[in-house]
Amino acid sequence: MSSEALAIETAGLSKRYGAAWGLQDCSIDVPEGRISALVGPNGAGKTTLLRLLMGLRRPTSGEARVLGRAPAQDEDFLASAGFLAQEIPLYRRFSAAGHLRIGAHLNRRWDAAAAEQRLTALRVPLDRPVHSLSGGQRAQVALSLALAKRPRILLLDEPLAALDPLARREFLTSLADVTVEGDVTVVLSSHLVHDLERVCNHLILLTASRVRLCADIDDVLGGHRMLVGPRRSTAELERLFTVVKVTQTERQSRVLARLDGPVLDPAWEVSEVGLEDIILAYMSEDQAVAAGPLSLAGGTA
Amino acid sequence: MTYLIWRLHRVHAIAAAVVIVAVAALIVPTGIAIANSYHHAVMNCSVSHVGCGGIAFTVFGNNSVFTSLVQDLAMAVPLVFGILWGAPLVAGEFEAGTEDFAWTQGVTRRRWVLTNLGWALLAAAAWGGALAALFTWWRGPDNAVDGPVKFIYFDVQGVAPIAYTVFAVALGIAAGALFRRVVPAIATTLVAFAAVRIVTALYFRPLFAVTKNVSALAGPPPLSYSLGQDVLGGSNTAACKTLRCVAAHGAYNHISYLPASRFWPVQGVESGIFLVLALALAIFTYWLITTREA
Repeated sequence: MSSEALAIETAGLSKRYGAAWGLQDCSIDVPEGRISALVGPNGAGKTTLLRLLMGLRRPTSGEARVLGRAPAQDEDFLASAGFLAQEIPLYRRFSAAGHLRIGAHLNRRWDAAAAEQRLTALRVPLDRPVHSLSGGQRAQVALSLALAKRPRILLLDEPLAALDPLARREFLTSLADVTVEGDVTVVLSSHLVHDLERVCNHLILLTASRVRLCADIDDVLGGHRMLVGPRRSTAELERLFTVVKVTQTERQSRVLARLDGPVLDPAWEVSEVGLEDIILAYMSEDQAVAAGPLSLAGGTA
Repeated sequence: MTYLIWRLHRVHAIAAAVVIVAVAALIVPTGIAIANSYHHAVMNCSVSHVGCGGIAFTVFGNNSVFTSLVQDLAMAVPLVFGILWGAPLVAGEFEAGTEDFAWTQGVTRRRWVLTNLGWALLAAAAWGGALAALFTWWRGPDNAVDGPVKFIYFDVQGVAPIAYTVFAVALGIAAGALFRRVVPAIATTLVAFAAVRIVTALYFRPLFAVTKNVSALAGPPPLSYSLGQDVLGGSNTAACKTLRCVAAHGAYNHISYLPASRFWPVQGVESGIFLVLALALAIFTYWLITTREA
């Protein structure tokens, strides 16, 4: 993994808004070519991270490197990065074709033909003002515009939030198609875990402005196990592994843990666990973090 | 970048052109009528010595409501540009969220703000200039009768209205970049523009006045703008019933006025002030856009 080129590299990246932290001590690596799901509850810092990576905000401390350089207001960086903001900003009165003409004037590399082809294939009308399109169609227009730059990195902030399930599926399918074609790295934020699993191969999990996980999804799945056994103390497990979540019932202990080695105690029944359950376990553990220190899972797994 | 600005604002540009044509349609015929009436009155006066004392009344008396309406309209022009063009230019992008689109294309914010400022201020100068030219022409006969330097007369003609318009638009843009909301930007433009204009017209402009003592029987010269007169000095004037008597007792008239001959110098200085303020606001906008976070 260390031999792979990194599309995103941050070290201690932090952003404070007044007294509140938007993002705290974020250190992540995303290798090139990944489609990374940026997941976390609302207010966890997803938008802050994406906007820092795009250079729309400046970090309070720490640094970010995107494609090997600090995000900056220069044409080389802007040409290499595509961005889609949460509200899907477009000029209401302009059509998709109008936006494509504008893009052609604002970018030195611009693939309007491919964008038109995509939108036509999706039956998105090119000549109608975008305010008359459905939310799903607008998202497709915005994605096509971001792709028309032929970016090497694509940062998408909650593009699925406003979409119905069918439009969501279509959007993710288009995204998957795109990433198959070229060597583009995608970071896609969402709180809809379920949808992301189909297209993403990398995960960044944020809760309460901190990074909890940043790893390939295969490694996340491989590293986490559910341990079920008769009710007992989990102190021993906590000494050996990173315990994410403990559920104690009257007769049973259920422990979700990140394992660094085999579980030798035969009293624990070890089973695999799905991505959604892992993510939800981290999110619910979030409340416990406020109460006291717990081994954080920052950095790559 | 220029293409984007043209696409976004061509409706405004065309609308403003239509307004200019409408204003021209209003004031060109009436301006010609007034000019004819003036020449007629002057001719009558020189040929038959009729109505020489009342040229102003003959020409403008019947149109006074209309002429003051036109001048009020002309006074409001820069502010209207500031509110309709300046204030929404940046604030409108923020309200619609479209700065996230514009600022993530291949164009730096530096270039975005400079091109926007450049075209907006150029357009303000062009449209403001076209209207100022119309009003200047329209005021020709009235200048010959009443002079060009009185408050409001001075403010709607020459080159100063161009500088006022450029300033108003720069102010609107800066307020929009600061608040990122259209309504506060409009309110700020309204208040700040009125304040700066009133202060310069009422307190700065009189610094160029001529102050001197003349005979108690004399006043400021014709076509000038009187800023004050005071009959001073003399002895035992209390018993006098006429000015002639007061003058005979050694009193004099202490007058302060803006002579018509200072029209252009004052226009130049005021234009300079407003253009410098506009430049400062443009620099402030540049600084806000390039350093503040999105």
